[in-house]
Formats: sequence, structure tokens, C-alpha cells
Amino acid sequence: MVTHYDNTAPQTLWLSIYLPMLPVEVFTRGLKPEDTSRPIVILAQRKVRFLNPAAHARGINIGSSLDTAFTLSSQVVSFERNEQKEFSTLSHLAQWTYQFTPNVSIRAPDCLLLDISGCLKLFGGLENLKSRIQQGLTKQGYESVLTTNMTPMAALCLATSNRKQQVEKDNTGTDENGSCVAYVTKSLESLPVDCLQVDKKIIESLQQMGIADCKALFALPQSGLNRRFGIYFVDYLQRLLGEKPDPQKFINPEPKFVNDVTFLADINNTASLRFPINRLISELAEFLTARQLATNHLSWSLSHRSHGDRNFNILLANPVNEHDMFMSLTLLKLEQINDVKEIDNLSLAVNNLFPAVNISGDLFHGTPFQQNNSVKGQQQQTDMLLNKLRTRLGPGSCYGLSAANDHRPEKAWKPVRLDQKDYWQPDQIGMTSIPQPARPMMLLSQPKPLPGTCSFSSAGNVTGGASVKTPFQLSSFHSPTRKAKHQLTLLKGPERIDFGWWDEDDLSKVITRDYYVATINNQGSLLWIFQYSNDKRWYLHGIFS
Amino acid sequence: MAQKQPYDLDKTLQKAGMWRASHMHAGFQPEQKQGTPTGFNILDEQLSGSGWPTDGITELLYEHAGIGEIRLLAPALANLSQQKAGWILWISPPYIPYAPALIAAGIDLTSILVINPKNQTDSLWAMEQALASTSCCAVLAWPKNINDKQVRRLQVASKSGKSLGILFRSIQSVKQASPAELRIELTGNSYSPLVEHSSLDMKIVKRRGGWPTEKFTIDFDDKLHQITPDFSEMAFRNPHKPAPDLVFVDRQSSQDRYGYPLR
Repeated sequence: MVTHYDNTAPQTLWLSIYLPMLPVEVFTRGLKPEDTSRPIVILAQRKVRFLNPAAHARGINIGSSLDTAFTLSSQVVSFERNEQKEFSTLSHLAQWTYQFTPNVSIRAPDCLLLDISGCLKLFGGLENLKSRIQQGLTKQGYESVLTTNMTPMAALCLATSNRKQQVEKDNTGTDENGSCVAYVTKSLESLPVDCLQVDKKIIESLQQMGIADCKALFALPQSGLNRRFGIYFVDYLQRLLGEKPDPQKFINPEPKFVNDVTFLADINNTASLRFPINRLISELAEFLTARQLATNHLSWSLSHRSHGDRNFNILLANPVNEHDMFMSLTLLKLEQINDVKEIDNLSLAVNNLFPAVNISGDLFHGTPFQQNNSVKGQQQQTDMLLNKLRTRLGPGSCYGLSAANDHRPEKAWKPVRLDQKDYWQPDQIGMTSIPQPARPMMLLSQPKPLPGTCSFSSAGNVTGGASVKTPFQLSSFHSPTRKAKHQLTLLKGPERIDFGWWDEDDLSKVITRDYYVATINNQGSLLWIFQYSNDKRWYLHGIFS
Repeated sequence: MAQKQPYDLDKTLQKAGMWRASHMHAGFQPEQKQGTPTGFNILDEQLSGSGWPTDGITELLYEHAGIGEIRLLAPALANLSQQKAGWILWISPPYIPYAPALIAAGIDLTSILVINPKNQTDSLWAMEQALASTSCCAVLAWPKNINDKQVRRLQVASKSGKSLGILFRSIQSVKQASPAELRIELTGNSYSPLVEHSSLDMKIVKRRGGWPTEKFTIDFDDKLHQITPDFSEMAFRNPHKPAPDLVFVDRQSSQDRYGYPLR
């Protein structure tokens, strides 16, 4: 029984993405379509280096000066070439292509190399993968040229040379001949020598020698090339053809998201930011989905080249990955901002990333057997209201209530932060069966002294002595001018509460309060008042609403 | 000449679409939404939907705090929070809602959310958002000044959510017309010596499907009017005066038998 082993070496397939208009697109990608019809030029050393199709249509050429450009068209918008921004955009796009393959290499200034040998099956073939990548890039506003080959350098050469025509030799990655060199040689034959990524001087020498295209170059003996041009050129050729392995340095997936949009004209009102905000949030949502992450903190920054930045943050109660919620909360916060004069750049940064929580859906959703309250829907709705309140009123404005482990009345409750949810429950179950004395539904934040000598009648007996009826205002809806005179009747009590007797050595110094339930005669209001046992002052502490 | 048929009242009454004020709960209203049961039968009978309305605003009008305006809502809030129906939102309460008392009333504290917005606009906005959201089951608000246009907006917002909307307002606003669905005037009942539980007088000023009612009393199931007799005073001051629970109180008079003022 003869078993056939696969003798061919593992075939590698490299995809190169070339972004020909990157210097222009870093400035124009966030614009609405009507704005891109304006001619835009990128300058370096006061000469035009890159231009967009509209500028080209008006007759501006690469190498002309800025004055020429303005003469040809008065609407020209010019930017200085921002290489740092290009590099950061390229890194951002490299992170974006991470969803297709983990092996992504950045080739400055305007190319990305992807090793797609392993991902063809997942994405349904080379064509599907390429169209997905191209569509994704176009959606973000970048024009791209995609080429494949079996060595990275070859893919790069093909990409950078094919600016206008699409020379594709489609290959699913396997070559029956088993020879990578032969394939690469064949595919690069017709290319001119100046598309090789080597020193300009070497290319000039080759052209002067009469070697115009790669076919002739590959026919030359390598020892001769070595003597003439040095070992680095030969090494490059060997890596190009696949004779030598060419390991690339791959990126690491970065745990943060930073993206921004530049505007051509300064924007004065925040209402027109809706479109770019939507765009940035869509990209964020895709980023989070691809990595299965969620976030609870968005940092927005509105900046202008001459003013400082205006930053605002959106904080959510729980990490989520929801486009609608980010959008509505951002717009809500934006309404409150009205001190920004002009903006020419909008950026979004997200650093707090958490693993996404997967809520399993109901298997019987939509059938008669489905559960009544779907947990996911409930949670989403709950978060939305809470997030809206926190966004508009400030993160610390909403709080919950909890009992606390203290017998002193004002400390027997505590506010609870809703993202921490530290509710306190009494530990011993048996304790809750003891009937607790009545507590008022509402507590005053500070006990309010009852004025002067308020008169009290204890309902259990008759008070003797003069009762001085002094005015005592309870917060009701009285008009402030009408001073009502109240007489309080004590009903239940006293309930003695000692404060911190363990802190004091001398028991006479300990604060002790005697609490009573009192009612205001003729009104029916029930109050919770107390008297200090040492100096006999009376205070109002709670109201039985 | 044909004899004139006598007018048949019964036939007319049985026609569909005929509303009788005495038959408030007649099933002719197709969109009658079930209200949240209040926990007090005598009140449920008076309300259409047998409970607090979930698609309209309830206004509780009172003059003095402490008469039981929140204790009135406590059974309904306890039910809602035990069923985990959503948030119970308190907007700018005049004092701190006291957690031990809420626990004693049976309200589950994990459903409670308190906010204190700095201005009236934010309060109204928050109330509108909460009423329209399905994740909130009750909103309690103490607005300082609110006009009828704002109440109408809240009323409209509450139609899309499922939460109770309760506004606590001054009894002076009973003169203002308000588009709220349910308006109840609350007055406290003074303490009287023979009764141990507290109670509240209510008068429904406006309700759906019925005329305004007369005053009726809701009795709370508590012992807040229970007296602790002061034995020391009694024993040493006036040995001839009998114990208080033996005192006969004539409710009509303003003095009790011994000449001391009752109220």
C-alpha cells in the first residue's frame, strides 16, 4: 500500500496593499462627497507632490509650485505633507487588517503586507478576500491597490508598479510545479526595472547598462551582480525570487483605538459633526467586534490647529459595544457643549477595553415557548436609561440606596455607586425577624433644631405648665409668609440610641438621643424627633412621609 | 294610527358605547390599561384599571409632608421592586429616602435610583426619559414649579413606557387645570387616642372614567399612632386620673371629659 505524501513545500501567499493616495486621503477621508470635488494638493518644500483627481482635472501637475496651482484654480486647498499622520493612519489600517490575518507588516510609507496563506479558506477564496479588503478600505475612504504573489517583495513590486492597470495572475496559492522561483520570475518578467525596491543609483546603473525590464535582470549571473552592485542587491533579488526566505516583522495587536477625522473648512457649530461622529463610531464598533471587546469610556477631542483641544468623555455604566448607544450618548453630551469656536479635527480615543460579555440568546426566541422577559433586551434597556442620566447629569449624580451596618440613624443608610453596587445585607437571618421600631420614610440630611421651647404634650398624659406655642415650620408647601403655630404631641417613645459609647471613657460625655414619634396636632403629619439627654435640646430628624 | 311605543330605557342603556358614571369598570373601554394595584382595596375600587395608571401621570396634592404620601405608594412600589420590573427613580426628593424604612416596607433597594438634578430643565428631561423608557417602572418627582404644558409633555411620554409617573405637588395647584390623568388631594388625619394605626384622607379630584369623589379614608397597616403611656407622670402627678385608655373621648366636642383640649 503506497501512501502519497505531499512533497511540495508549504506555499506562502502574500497580499500587498498599496495606498497610492494616502497623503491626500489622511486629510480628505472624513469629508462628505461634495467636498471632495474641490481640488486638494499636498505640498512638500513648496512644490506639489500629491493631488486628488479634481486637482488633476484642473491641470495641476506634480512638481508645480503652489502659485501655479492657485493660478489654475482658485479653490485649491493645500496641506503640508504630514508624514507622521500618514504613518499613524497606516498603523491604524494595519490594525484594521488584523481581522483578516495576524501576520501584517507595515511597509512605509504607503504599503501593507499581509500573509494570507492561512486565511483563504475562512474567507471563501482569494477573490472574496480581496474584494472584502478593498471594500472595507473604500468605506473608510482609502483607495487601494491589492496584488498577490508568493514572496513579499514580489507582491510589493507588483503593487507599486500597477498604479493604473490591474495585472493579476490569479493563483489560489498552490503551484503544481512546486517552484516558487519560477512563478515569481514569470510574474515579474514584464515589469520595468525601476519598480524594484532598491537604491535609485542601482536602478539608474541598470538602465544605463541597457537592462530595462526584469526579464533581462533575472538572466544575469548572480556573481556578476554581486561584484558590481554589492551583496545587498543580490540578497534582495534572492529574497524577491524566493530563493531565500524572507521573514517579515509583524505587528502586534494593539489594545487601543485612536482615530480621527480632519475637516477642510473650519466647522463652527457642533450640530454638523453628526456625520463624522457616526463614521468614527462605526469604525469603533467594527474594531470592537473584530476583537470581541467592549468599552465603557470614549474620549472625544475637538481640536483646531491654533486653539487648544476641547475634550469630553462619555462614561458608561457597563462596557458595551453598541453603535446606537454610543451615538445617542455622544450627541447628548455634545448638546451641552457650546463654547467651541471652530473645529478642524475630531478624534476619538478608546483605551479602556474589556472582553465582551456574551449573552446567550434564547433558543426558542420567536416561538410560543420563548421566555417572557428576554434577559438581553432588559439589560440593554436598563443600561440605556442609566447611561443617559449619567451622561447628562454627570457620572456621580445617580446613586442607589442601601442599608448600612450601623445603629446610628444617620449612618444606617448609605448611597451606593451604581457601577459598584455594594449593597449591604444584614448577615444574620434571624435578626430580621425581630420587629424593628418604626423608621421614617424620609430622613433630614442634618437634624433640624426645633425652635425655642416648643411645647410638647405627651399623649399618654396631660402636660402641665405653660405651653408656649412657637412657630415651627415643616417643609411643606406653605407660603413662607404664613407662620403656622404648631403644637406637637409625642406618641411613641422614647427610643434611646447611644452614640459611640465605646469611644468615651466617661459615660456622661457620650451623646445619647431619645427618639420619639410625634405628630403635629391638627395636621396629621408624623415626625421623628429626638432630644439630647444631657442638654435636653429637641431636634427634628425624620418625617414619616 | 299606530300606538306610540313607549320609550324603552333599557334598550338604550344596553346599547354599546353608552357610558354610565356608576359603572366605571364596565368593559366598554377597549384600551383600558391595567393599572398597578395600589394595595388598598378601597382605593382600587375608585380607580379605573384598578390601580395606579401606568400610561398617565398621577398627581398627589398635599399641604403638609409626613401625612403618609409615600406610605401610600409603598405597597405598589414593594410589588414592583420584588418583581424586578425596572428602576424606581426618585427625582429631587425633599429629604433623603431612608433605606431602613424602605426595607421595612418591603421595597427591594436594588431597584432604587435617586437623582438630584441641579435645575428644573434637567429634572423634567430626566422624568421624560424615564417615563418613555421601558426599563423604568416608577418615577417619583417633587417638581418645584411645573406648568400644565410640561405636565402634558410628561403625560405624552408616559404613554410610551410602562412606568408609574407620580408628581408630588402643593395643594394650591388643585385650582390649576392639569392634564394629568389622576389627581388626588391628600390630607392627614390627626391623631385620636383610641386608634393605633395612622390613616390618610383622600379626595380624588380627577380620574379617568369617573367623576370626582368625596373624601374617603385609607387606613395604613401600621402602629404609628400607638401611644407609649408615660407611667411616671401618671403615677406621681395625678393619682386620681384614670389611665388614658379608659378615658372616654367624645369626638364631637373639643374637650375631653376632664376639660383638657382634645385637638
